[in-house]
Amino acid sequence: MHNSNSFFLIIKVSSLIIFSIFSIGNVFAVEEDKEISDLLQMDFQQLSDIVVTSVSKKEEKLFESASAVYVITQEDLRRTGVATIMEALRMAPGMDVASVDSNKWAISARGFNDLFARKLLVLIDGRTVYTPVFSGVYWDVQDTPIEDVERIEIIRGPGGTLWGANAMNGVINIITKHAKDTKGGLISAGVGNVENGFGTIRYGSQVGEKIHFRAYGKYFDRDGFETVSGAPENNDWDAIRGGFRADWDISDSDSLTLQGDYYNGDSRQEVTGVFSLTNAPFTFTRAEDSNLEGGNILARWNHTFSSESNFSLQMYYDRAEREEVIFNQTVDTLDVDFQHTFKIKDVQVIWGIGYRTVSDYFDNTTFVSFGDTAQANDTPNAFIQGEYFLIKDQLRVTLGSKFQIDPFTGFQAQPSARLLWTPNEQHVVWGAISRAVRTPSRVEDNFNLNSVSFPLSPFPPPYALVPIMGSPEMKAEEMLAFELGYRYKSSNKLSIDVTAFLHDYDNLLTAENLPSGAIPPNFITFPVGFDNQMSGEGYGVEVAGVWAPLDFWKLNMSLSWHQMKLYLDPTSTDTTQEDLAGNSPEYKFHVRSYLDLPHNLELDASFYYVDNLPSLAIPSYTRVDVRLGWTPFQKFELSLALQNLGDSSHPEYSAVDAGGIKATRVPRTVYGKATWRF
Amino acid sequence: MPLAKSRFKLLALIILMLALVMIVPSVGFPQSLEDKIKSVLIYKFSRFIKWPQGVKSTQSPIVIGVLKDDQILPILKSIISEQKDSSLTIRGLKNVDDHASVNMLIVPKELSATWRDQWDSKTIKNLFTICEGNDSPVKGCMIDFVKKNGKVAFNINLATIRNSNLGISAHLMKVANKVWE
Repeated sequence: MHNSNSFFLIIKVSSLIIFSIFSIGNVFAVEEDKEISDLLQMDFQQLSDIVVTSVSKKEEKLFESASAVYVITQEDLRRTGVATIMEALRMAPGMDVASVDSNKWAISARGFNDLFARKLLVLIDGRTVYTPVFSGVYWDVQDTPIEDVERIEIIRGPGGTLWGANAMNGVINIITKHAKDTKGGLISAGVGNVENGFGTIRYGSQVGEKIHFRAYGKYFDRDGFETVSGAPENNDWDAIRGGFRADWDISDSDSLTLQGDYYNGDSRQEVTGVFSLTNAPFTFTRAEDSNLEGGNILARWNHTFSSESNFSLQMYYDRAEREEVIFNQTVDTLDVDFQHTFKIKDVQVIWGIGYRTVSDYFDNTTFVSFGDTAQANDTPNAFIQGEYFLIKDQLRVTLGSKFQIDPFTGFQAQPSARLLWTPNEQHVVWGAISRAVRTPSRVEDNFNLNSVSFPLSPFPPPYALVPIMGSPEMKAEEMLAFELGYRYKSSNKLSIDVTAFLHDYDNLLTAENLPSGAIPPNFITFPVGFDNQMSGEGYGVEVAGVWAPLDFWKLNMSLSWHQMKLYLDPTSTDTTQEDLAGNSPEYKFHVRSYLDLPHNLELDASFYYVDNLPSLAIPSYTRVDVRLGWTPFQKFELSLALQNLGDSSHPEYSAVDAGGIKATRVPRTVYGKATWRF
Repeated sequence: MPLAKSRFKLLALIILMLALVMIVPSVGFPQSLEDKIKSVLIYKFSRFIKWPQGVKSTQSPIVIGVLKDDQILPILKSIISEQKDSSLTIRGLKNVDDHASVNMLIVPKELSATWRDQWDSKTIKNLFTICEGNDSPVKGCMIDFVKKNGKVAFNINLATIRNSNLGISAHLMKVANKVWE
């Protein structure tokens, strides 16, 4: 019955889509006749003033990209009134974005969402912020000023061929503005019911004709969210951050970028775990501020030989320190990347080599400890990719692979083959087959987490102790992905992007029971060790559309459907990892509207529907965000943002399994903001 | 069993995607704005070309030949049909050699090199040619469409026009992006 219902549902949806396409086709025909009549009325000058394609070559390339790409622009960031980059990611189709509490997010693409979503790579201006300690992203230190972001490119699906390991289910590239685009001053400040206060100050200028620079500082203080049981919050968050960027256009063929950031913040967290092996009841709940401090510096040299040949050399150093109740860590990353693009006959070739060295230092606690409290791991890598038109300007094939030597799993190759058909400038059909891997983290290799203890009899001891242990035998998680996509755009007024995908996973992480032991005098241990005894598949459809029916009104929408099936090996004793299939919603829908009103007013609204998370007992929810913006004077803007208008609060995610972090309710929030540019 | 269920859904999904891919071309690709502007410009150019005596009588229409182009040809046909303009006729050409039967020849970018090889100013006279994509004078091309800052512009190769016994209105030269003497 279930199969039959699904089949008929798909048939119904298919019929609706097919009918819609025929209807759209008829609408286009009428629109086109009118457009030609209008053009015939114009003189030569008027005809030559019409913009027919985007001036930005990057945007053209994104439309003609043989992958599932979505771009969040600076205009999207401004008009949705989001306070953080994490909140902005909700706009992208196929992205799972959920607030765990006020300072933690679970963010992933195409499933496997978790507090540390292991299969999503995130980069800021080419610098990875994916932590090799836990495999995932510490979102509480990704606080680039919203005003400095030029765009956020979100690639759903495997990106390993260019970006390497861990870009398994997606890549997020946060790209900040060139310094020459931020000349002058900017001061923005705001306050709200959850946002106790935030502000950014930035100043940019130039030295001579060729050197542009900017420097910024920002601060925010944010309240915590109430737990689902109504307990007082223990997840407030504040941070101060500063940074700079300088761009030097040395000559027509050379440019140099130098940029850096420093941050220092506190994010409070409440954690439950075994913090003592000597004092009963051993398991304690502790609420403390985590001190988060770090910085980075990056230099990039671009050299252009010709319009078809260039190279870039990038180097960065990043330090991240976290003093947390569970353990303290310091991670230093030094990364060098070289990339060269050129053309041999009709083949556009891009290749590169890179080297990354990561040094870590841990202070163990009883709760979390590492066998090696300090390690230095090197990852050399190389990639090559070629693009060739099988039919000139219409059918393009892209073949490539990344090769890297991972410190834990050795040699890894991540090849992909992509085909792109552009019958004309308005239509794109693409398909891809890719292999991607997710390499083990330090935690999976070499750590011990004493998760719970409980009495084994009415008169203990003995107590049971359940340590979760890493294993040096961990393999890389593997995926073979099949994708099929279609894009359409018409005169900048309507665009549609549809992607279907199938991800076939193998060697997925599991937690297996190990032989029991004893820690005299109190404990009998029931250890659980990481292993790779699960396979699975995820498949779904993602649809995104933009429609600007009027010059002053623009609509964006996205719809995604995602299914995941995970299968434990017959020998597996895992009881938790299979549940990851239910950590991501099956259906998501989003629509947002940008409306320009008279008197320099803007009224913008976003609606989100997110399906339930069965594994975490999180019910489905809707979310309505509204922003009212007003520019009374040139370069001065006032805005009022109301978020989660639909209900007073709702839970979005529960990370109880990750150290007993309490699930919270995301409240209705309101804040006002003033921005002055000078 | 779970595998069988998911494969079943996957099969349905693939059928849906294949249906989409097959149906979209069948409803017809909407024409691009760039092609529409080029077609309208070609239509308007025809009024600014000065033909030598005897080449074209007032009764016979100007024949515009479009080489292997399925984008501009239908737009031009619909323009002439809707304008009820009997002074112009549109003809699709399969080969460069077919130019002898037309007065104006539209050469798409991919055939520019073939046409350049074919062009001989001594033998080919009274043929007005429109090419695309060349931002410098190219043999055999009298008007060249180019894109400037995302807009459609055109260059005029006056020397080639004169060598072919043709002329062009001064008004057209005023609005051109470049005029090569």
